[in-house]
Amino acid sequence: MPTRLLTTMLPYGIAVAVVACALLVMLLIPPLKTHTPFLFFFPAVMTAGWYGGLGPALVATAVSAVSAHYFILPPAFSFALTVVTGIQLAGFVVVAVFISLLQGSLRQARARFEVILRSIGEGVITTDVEGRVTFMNPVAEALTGWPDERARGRPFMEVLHLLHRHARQPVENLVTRILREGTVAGLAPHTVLIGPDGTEHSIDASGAPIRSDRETMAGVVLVFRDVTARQRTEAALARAAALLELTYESILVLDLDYTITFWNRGATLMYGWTAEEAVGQVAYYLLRTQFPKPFEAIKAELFRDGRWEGDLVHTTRAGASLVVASRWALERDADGQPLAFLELNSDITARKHAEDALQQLNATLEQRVQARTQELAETNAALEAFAASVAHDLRAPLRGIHGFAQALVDDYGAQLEASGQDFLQRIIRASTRMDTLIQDLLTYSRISREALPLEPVPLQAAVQAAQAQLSGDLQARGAAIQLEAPLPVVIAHYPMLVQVLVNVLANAITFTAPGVCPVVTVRAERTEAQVRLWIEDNGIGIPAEYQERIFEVFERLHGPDAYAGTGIGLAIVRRGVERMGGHVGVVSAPGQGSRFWLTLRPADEGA
Amino acid sequence: MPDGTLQTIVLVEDNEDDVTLLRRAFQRAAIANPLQVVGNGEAARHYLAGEGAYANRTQYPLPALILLDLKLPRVSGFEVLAWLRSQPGLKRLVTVILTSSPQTADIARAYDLGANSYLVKPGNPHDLVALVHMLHLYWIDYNATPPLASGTG
Repeated sequence: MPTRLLTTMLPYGIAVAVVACALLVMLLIPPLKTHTPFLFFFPAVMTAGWYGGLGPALVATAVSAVSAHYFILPPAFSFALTVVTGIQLAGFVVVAVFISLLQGSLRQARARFEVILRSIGEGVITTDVEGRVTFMNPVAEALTGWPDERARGRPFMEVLHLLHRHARQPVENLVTRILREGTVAGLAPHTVLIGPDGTEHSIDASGAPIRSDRETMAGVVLVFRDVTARQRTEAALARAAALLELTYESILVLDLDYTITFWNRGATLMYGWTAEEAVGQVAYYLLRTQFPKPFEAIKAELFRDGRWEGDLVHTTRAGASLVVASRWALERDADGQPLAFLELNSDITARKHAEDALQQLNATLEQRVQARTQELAETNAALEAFAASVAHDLRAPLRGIHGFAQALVDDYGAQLEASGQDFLQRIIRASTRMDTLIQDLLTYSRISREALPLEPVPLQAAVQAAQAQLSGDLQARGAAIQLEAPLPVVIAHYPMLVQVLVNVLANAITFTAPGVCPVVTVRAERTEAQVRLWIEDNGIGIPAEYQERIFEVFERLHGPDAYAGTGIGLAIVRRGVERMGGHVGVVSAPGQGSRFWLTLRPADEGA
Repeated sequence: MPDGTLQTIVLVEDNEDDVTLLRRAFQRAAIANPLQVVGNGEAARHYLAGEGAYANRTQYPLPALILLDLKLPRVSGFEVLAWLRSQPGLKRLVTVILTSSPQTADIARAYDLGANSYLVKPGNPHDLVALVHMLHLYWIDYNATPPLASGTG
């Protein structure tokens, strides 16, 4: 038989069974039958009603009535009715029905009471006046680990295992206290419940006496709940709040009309107002905020993105101006509706000032650099003019010396002895040398100062131009210059390159052994990154220890009587080539000629 | 100019040595033209304008050729040239710069101001004689002397 059906039929079954028992007893004790024919049927109906409620009680009533009528009321074992027996039976039925109704409502009330108790979300424990548990609702069962049936009758403190949180000692029995004092009472602080698995739970509990009437207590009802989770949350919140108070940054919470609802200690430190003074004020009035762009634009960004960042200017309570880096966030509720603004400000006034100072310094630096460059350019120009002027003024008297010496030779030479003529020749040579020297010095100084605009220059053309300039000397010495084609195009400054080549070639044809005709070969080597030009002569060569020094100003390896030269020519070559982005050097050994090389950038790099 | 009268050459030069050497060079080159020398820019202006000490045009005729140095005291050769080219009666006078400066800037400026030619003084006196000879040959013998505007004689 299905369980549900069984449960439903059981009370009725019990009802019938109980009536049957009552009948049996009545039949077995004849005096009962005669004097109290319905006696045991009342308890039967009551029992049926107790267990099953109104329905079974009525069934019991009916069965009792029929049984009594048949078995007990005279004439026994028949359904015949007399007026008397009829009235007795009717009386029984009325009373039995009344009892049934009573039982029914009693049972209903009890059931309702139980349902209510079971439905309460908190733990409910009731005790009697001795402090023994009389009832545990499901929540109480769960929290204590004691099922209702087992808990009933046990002492309250056994079921609800409470300890002092820190002392770990049992606490005062709350029930006992309530019973003693007769009023509502709560748990002592720091009381914790030890759960069935030994875990600690913080609980909130209060109890009240159950009074049957104004004087008498029937017991205690205790209501409690587990607040561990809530306490943990609260503790975490408190900690978070405390942390918020630690920071030196200002943390403000504003509601949607910008009224301050939260103002942390950092804000007090930064602006000067306490939380009490600040809460309730409109933020941008209080702080006299200056926004970097229109407030409407900031609001729009905030509502669109949920955040905004920027620098604001605030005024403190004392009137000082602050620059803050401000971060705003929009808090939304569960439906996405805007709830509040969170504003975080850090004081960057010092940093801002430093930045501004730096910018200003930069600007003035720019200015100063420009002024300095201008100065330099002017100085350079002045130097240039000075050098030219000096050169001019130095060369003028030389012209005189040279000119008149030569005039003497021409006009009066015949009247002089050989030594006199020799003296004049020396004068001429000396002044010529000096003139060349001045010109070379002027050139050298100019190279260092002038800007050399570079462009592609065909080496062939430059060499040939140099040759042309030296044509007189070439002829005089019987020198031959051989060009090995091809000579590539290089990046250079044409006049400078020609000057360099003139100087190197002049060197090449000057320093030859007496009686030897100078032969100079000019050829080029090409790598990807540079062109190396070789000027190779059959001259007297240069010892290794001098091969660097010859490129210095006024360095001469031979006296002017042996070989002409000012000692500046190669210095000019080095300077000039360097200004064009290249290098010079020489490979040489005494008696084996010299191979001068210079490197320049090719005009078609990478080709 | 009537035939037979040799044309005058005016030399504007402040360096006495250079003047001496030039005179000698003219001699050696067998140039017989009268050489008038003025030592500074102001004197050059006076001469060409026919003022003051130079008012006598017979004694100080206008030249067929002016040899003009650039580095002159107080009034530079550039200023003389600029002034000359601004004078209606004198602006066509043939002016050759004869200077020691080989500077490009000076050359450019001289031509901008209207110089007819630019020569750098040679260091070697032999070269000076050759130069002077060539100058005479070109500018006096071959070159057509420009007619000056009337009113200057």
